[in-house]
Amino acid sequence: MNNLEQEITQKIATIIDTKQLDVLIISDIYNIQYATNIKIPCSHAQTDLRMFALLKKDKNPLVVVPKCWENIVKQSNHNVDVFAYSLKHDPLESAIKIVFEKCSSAKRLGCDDELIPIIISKIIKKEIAELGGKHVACADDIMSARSRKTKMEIKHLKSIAMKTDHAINGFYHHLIADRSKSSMSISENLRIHSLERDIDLEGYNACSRGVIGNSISNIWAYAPKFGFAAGDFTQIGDTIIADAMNNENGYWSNSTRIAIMSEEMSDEQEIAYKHLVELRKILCDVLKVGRRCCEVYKDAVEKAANAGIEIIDGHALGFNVGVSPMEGPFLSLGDQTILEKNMIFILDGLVKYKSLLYRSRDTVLLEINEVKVINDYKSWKEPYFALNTI
Amino acid sequence: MSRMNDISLSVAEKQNLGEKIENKMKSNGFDALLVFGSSNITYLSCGIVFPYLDQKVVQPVALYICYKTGKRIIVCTNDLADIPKQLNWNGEVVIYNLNQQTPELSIAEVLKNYITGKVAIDENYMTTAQIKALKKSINGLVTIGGDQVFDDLKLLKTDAEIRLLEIACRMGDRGFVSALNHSEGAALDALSYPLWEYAERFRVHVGEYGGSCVGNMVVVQGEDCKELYARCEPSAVLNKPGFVRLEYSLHNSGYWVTGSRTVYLGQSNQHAEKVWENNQTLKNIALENLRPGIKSSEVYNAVRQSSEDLNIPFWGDIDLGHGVGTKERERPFLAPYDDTLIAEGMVIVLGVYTYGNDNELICNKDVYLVTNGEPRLLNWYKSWNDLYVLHGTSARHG
Repeated sequence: MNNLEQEITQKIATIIDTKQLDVLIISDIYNIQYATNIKIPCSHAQTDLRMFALLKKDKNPLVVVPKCWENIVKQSNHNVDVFAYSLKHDPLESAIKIVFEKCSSAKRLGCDDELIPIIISKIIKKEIAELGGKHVACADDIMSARSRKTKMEIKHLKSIAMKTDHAINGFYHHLIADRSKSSMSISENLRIHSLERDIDLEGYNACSRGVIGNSISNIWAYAPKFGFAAGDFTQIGDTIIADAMNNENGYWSNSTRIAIMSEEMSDEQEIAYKHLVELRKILCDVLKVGRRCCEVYKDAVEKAANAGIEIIDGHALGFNVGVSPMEGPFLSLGDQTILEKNMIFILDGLVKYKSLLYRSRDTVLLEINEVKVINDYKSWKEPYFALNTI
Repeated sequence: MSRMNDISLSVAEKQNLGEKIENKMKSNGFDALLVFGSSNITYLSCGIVFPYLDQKVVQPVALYICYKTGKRIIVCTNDLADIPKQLNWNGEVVIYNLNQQTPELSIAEVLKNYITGKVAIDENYMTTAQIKALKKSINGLVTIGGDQVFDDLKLLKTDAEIRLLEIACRMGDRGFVSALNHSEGAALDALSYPLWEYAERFRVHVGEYGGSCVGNMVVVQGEDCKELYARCEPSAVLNKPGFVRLEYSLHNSGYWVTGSRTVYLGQSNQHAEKVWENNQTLKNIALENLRPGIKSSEVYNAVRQSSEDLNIPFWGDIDLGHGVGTKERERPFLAPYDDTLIAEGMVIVLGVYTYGNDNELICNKDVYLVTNGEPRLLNWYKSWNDLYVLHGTSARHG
């Protein structure tokens, strides 16, 4: 068992102890990955094929998967016991049958079924009732554990956050203001420059996209080709907003950075970017261990308003990142979660200036008396400036 | 505009699909629906696609339609609110803020202003947390499971849906051909060609040819080719003469297809040609059985029987195909457990995994429209019936 697995196993064991569980049944794919280090890249899209993990104290995790995924599971983690079902019968029924055969003697069964489809949750509850067991809700406990990162998780998240920033810079380095580029070309090159830095090959949510010029008035421009963008071309002086989400060792980065197709900003860009920098500073100042997310949000909104920064009403100003690219807690009006040491937040900087939306995402680690930005390959006090010409 | 460049649903096509949905809903006694699943949102809204919903990169989105009042609402967070407009949505867009403890409670607080009485929901997608939040916020909410009706609706495609799927097939094949074209200039020469780049070239070119998104993307060679999926090591290059397989999925304006394409790296040989021919033999048997009125399981059983009769083993741990549409795997499944009757108008991905020289899994998936006669091939862009040999030692052309 490697260090990461040991750390997570300890966290899961704590949940099992605290809740006095005989077994913890995990159904959410991100939770499964967290608890077992097993990731099937298409499992969120191919939902007719279900997987479950069963966790008992001092035992190897037990994973139930369709036979077609059996070997990749075994390759991903040698310390799990794999039980695979064939497609002879209905996949969900087959999976559930194995799950409950493996916990037939359990009396207290923890579940994360708040996070999964109603239909599966109903089946799990029915099976537990038939066993004569007690259903114990554990979704919040797992999400809470996920939000406080371990030493190895921090190491992985720092690595991928910095690599992604490096990749964005690596691509920006090719920008020459008088050589126009399409948003599609920018999107492609962001991904290529990430892959060149040894990130994992990912489909689906490995989002990388460039939004340019006046298209930045839409956060998700170019619908439905969000990640491929379009055939619009940069003009000299344009703003480029690059989003990149990358995965390495099962952990995600989620970054946004701005480049200017010029060696200097226009007056409008200057003001908008200054607002982004100020907003980052405000967020880093108000983000403190022991405060509630909603307090941080309110404080930041008030300070931004005082500084004349137009932010979007109701837009959450941050979220966690880990085995998924976006997860709670959220820096929002409603989230009462108390900030703790070793949480890693994506600060979702978004300001409006003259109908355009300028965005920048920093990744920060919360320490007792400090907020550390961990994706600053370069200083983002200024955007990336393209050379005017060569 | 060329038919193949008309990549989204026209107003008339949306109306036609919308009427089909409305008639089905009404005939099942459903006055209203509320769905959260990405494929249901795209299908029931007739073409609205949100980014990365299944992967939870964005906050939840809900689609509510009431056929009694004519109300059609998409509820989403501010960052997503312009998307329906970009895609010509003719209903309302309502923004919710994260002003409650969870996103589920926040969206429920907004939905309570619109939903009354009985509503069909997608229990196959909607989470327990979400339904709890809705029941907490909406007095007297009565929900009924709508999944069976939604799935039944999706089984048979409209002409417009078939067109979008056919275009998706072409995008996929053009993307794959491009990946081959890029890699065969350098495969096996001293410069080498990264395995990830083979997959990435596919993804990039799907986008260039108009695709909306690539989903699954797995490339395997050598020992890894014995598995359906394996991790692509960042430093791996195309350097193992033998079978190389790419598994993929992609969508065009919300309409997904899946694929599996196997090629042979290096000089092929008689044995490789023979195992490929065997693969095609079993695939064609499946195809011959893909006829209206046949049970999906019977297609699978016919292949199993032929596999025994002809002594061509196949990998039986996965289905031989499945429906495609606004989700990359839909009913029917060509598998022992699915007795759905094949019917005209279904669009089905078909492929058999057989074994290569060293037990590699080889497969060539194509997409077919079921008709009253022979199935119509939608992946017509290039024939893959003969083994494709990937070989090149020239200087890299980029």
